[in-house]
Amino acid sequence: MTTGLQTLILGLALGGVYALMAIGLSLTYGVMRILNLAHAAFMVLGAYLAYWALQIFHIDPLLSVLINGPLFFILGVSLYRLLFVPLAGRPRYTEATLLLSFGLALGVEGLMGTWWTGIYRAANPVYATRSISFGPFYIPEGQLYATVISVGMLLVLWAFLQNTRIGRAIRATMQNRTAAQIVGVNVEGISALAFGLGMASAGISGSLLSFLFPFFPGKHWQWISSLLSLVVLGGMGSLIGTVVGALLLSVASVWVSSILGPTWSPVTFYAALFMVMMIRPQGLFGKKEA
Amino acid sequence: MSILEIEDVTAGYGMGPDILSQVSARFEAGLIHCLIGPNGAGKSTLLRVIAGLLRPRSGRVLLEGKVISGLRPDQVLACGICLVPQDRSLFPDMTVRENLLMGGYIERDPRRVSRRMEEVLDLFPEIRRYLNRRAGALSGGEQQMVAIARGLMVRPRVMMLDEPSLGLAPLVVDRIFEAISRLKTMGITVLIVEQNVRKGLAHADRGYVLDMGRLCFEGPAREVMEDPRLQELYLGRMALSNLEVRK
Amino acid sequence: MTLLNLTRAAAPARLEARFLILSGLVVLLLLLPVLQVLSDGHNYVLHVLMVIFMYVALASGWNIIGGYAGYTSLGHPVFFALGAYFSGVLLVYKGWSPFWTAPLAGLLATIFGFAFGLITLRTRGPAFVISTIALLLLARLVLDNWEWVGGSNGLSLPMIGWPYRFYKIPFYYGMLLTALAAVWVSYRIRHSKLGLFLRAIAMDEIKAEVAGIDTRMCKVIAFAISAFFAGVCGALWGYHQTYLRPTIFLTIGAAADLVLINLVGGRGTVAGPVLGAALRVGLDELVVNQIGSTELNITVTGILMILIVLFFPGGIIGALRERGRLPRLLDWD
Repeated sequence: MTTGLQTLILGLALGGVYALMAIGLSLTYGVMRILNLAHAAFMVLGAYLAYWALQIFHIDPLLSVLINGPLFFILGVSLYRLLFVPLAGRPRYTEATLLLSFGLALGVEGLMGTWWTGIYRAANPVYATRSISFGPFYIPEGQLYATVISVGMLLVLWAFLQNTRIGRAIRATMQNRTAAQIVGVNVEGISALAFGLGMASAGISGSLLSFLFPFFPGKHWQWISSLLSLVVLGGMGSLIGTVVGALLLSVASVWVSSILGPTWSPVTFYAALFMVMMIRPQGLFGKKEA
Repeated sequence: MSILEIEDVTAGYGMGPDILSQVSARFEAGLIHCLIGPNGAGKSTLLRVIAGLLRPRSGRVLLEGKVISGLRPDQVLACGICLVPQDRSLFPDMTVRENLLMGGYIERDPRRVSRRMEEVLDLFPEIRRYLNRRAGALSGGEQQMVAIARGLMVRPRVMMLDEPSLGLAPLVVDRIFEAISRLKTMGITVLIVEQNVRKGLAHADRGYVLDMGRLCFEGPAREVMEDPRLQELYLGRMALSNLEVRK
Repeated sequence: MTLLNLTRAAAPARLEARFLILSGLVVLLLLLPVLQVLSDGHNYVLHVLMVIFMYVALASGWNIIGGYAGYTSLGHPVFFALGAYFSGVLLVYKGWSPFWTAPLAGLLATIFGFAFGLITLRTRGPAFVISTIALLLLARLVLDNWEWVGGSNGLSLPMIGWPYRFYKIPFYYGMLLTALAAVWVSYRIRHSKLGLFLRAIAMDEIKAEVAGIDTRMCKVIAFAISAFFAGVCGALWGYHQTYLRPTIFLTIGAAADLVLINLVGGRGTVAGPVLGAALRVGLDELVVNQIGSTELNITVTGILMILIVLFFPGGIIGALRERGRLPRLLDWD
């Protein structure tokens, strides 16, 4: 019972971080049907930047969130305008963007490998090795901070989407792009914004990743497949689905990891992916026709 | 006095053929205009061109003498032209209230938006009943009402409705046309595309007949209704399609 | 009028010419190992050609699902590894030569591809590519931890018992035959009903469904056929390398290679992958092997991919055809 609850606590805590990592993927897919395969590559890039900030400038990874967020937002908007806008209106748009983002992922991976080499790294702020216990339970201190930041960011995003004019326009564009145009939404601008927000989530979660997990340039493939698996589980293009998928799979993976060892915890994601595709291809919160 | 002018507009989708070729027409301020014609005549395409959703290959669209073709859809909307498309294009997962708020999207001042929403709700009081329901869960007639109300959020001067009666029960259709008549009393110029020729022309001031991407003829609605060319167009088509069926 | 008559008269003759040139090339390639038999010193040429053949077979196979149907797969290295490990294990434990078990390895890959496709090709759109990445990583995880086949250290295979001077020759022929078969199958599919359906799916899958095409079955069959050649190549290549290790076969980089070869040559065309494969291996020999392999290779691959998607979405074949400059020699569609 205690171990079960402990697994649940760790899983949910991790799930908050996964949800932040994946929400950007879901946002870019929902708004403009771009499946950004480079999302996790930028996340790992964010982790390297946070690692650097700590090593060289002694900036705590929790603080580098404030640098990475805006930095990756600007990077995202520029990349969108530079690379994705020229593809607009092309037949088989989603596929073209898929290949484009695949190329982008490889490009970033190679640059990271050249710059930082292929060895494992991890940022080591003081709290990375400590943990907090309450009663019979414990939670690693770094994990706790990361979860608090992630949940905070998700709540800010949620409030923005629900209560602001621009946020509503983003949701409107996700639901019906033509209708959004009809009521006067500049969908290209909204798309650039959504891509920027997606990238910002990659940058911010990269900061958190830097002290939660060891990383190397090629690691992003494992991340992207885990994140995409949980997005598919939730239903592609559904933000709520992504959060639910993240929580479900993180708990499941922590549980699998406690039984079979951490090597096999990624299998949880792949197994869930294949099962969803067999039983309910549109995912938990997805719409049938999508 | 014409408020909206179409000059020699030719348009089509992607690399495809011309759907409209050299269409010219004038629409008078404050009247209800009904566009009719067989399937594929280019009626919806004409509305999309006016709304800025489709750029014409050649020709111009003028609003009170100002060229508006080539503007983005949001800019056309800001000029006071709004479109209620065939599928109503509501945001299914948003509430009716949020849909109306989205209707006022181009107005940045939230106080003005909510004031306008009150005005619109006073015009269509029945909408108040389902203000907090999900738009996707409404009936077809209710959705059409919300779509019209959403269009009114920008205080349009021209409102275009693409087949507002599509898929609705006769009784509901009457309610929609009654609402359209109310638009006229507000001084709004109305363009309707209608499959239901008789009903459409009965509620309109002027009729425009399109066929094969061209404007065949136009005139006061009553005259268009009785024009033998109209009979010919529809009956001729019917005879043709019957022949095809028999083959 | 006379011009029309002239072209009409010329067309079959030119078709003949093209046929003669291409079959002449094949005969030449078939006879080439004779050089090595007559005098030593041509092993390098045979090796480079063999690698080209392998990529021709792999890329032409990939093209059936990735090009014709437009469903990008990053999972093909799994079939390659499956073939390599299947034949490798039979060699180590039973002593059966991979030259005989390679077709079986291909068949196994086909069956596996069919089953996998049934699960993951039910839906339209980009969920498929996600599943192939997952498949690749899952296979890597399994092989890394499966001690019976050597785990992450890999499995050493006995060398082929031929003298050094001749040992490339059987691999050369094996890969050449596989490549010819792959191009032939690709050509036949391109000109069949299945090929037509697949291209309809690539253009507009919803319309294809409405038109009554069983899109799911078409995609699954295309995927299964495309897996066959990866399986065969894997069996031969593993034997040639004499050791099997998950890091060699199961990388996204290997999958990216196949995508890039097709993009460069022209996705969805018969000649595209052949051209792309030759360029890929040729450039590798000329540039990369001189400078040495670095992490930057991955970046170059990525940047090339981006540039092609942005500026030459049809690849070389597509760009030439668009400008009306595609020589008939390369127009196999």
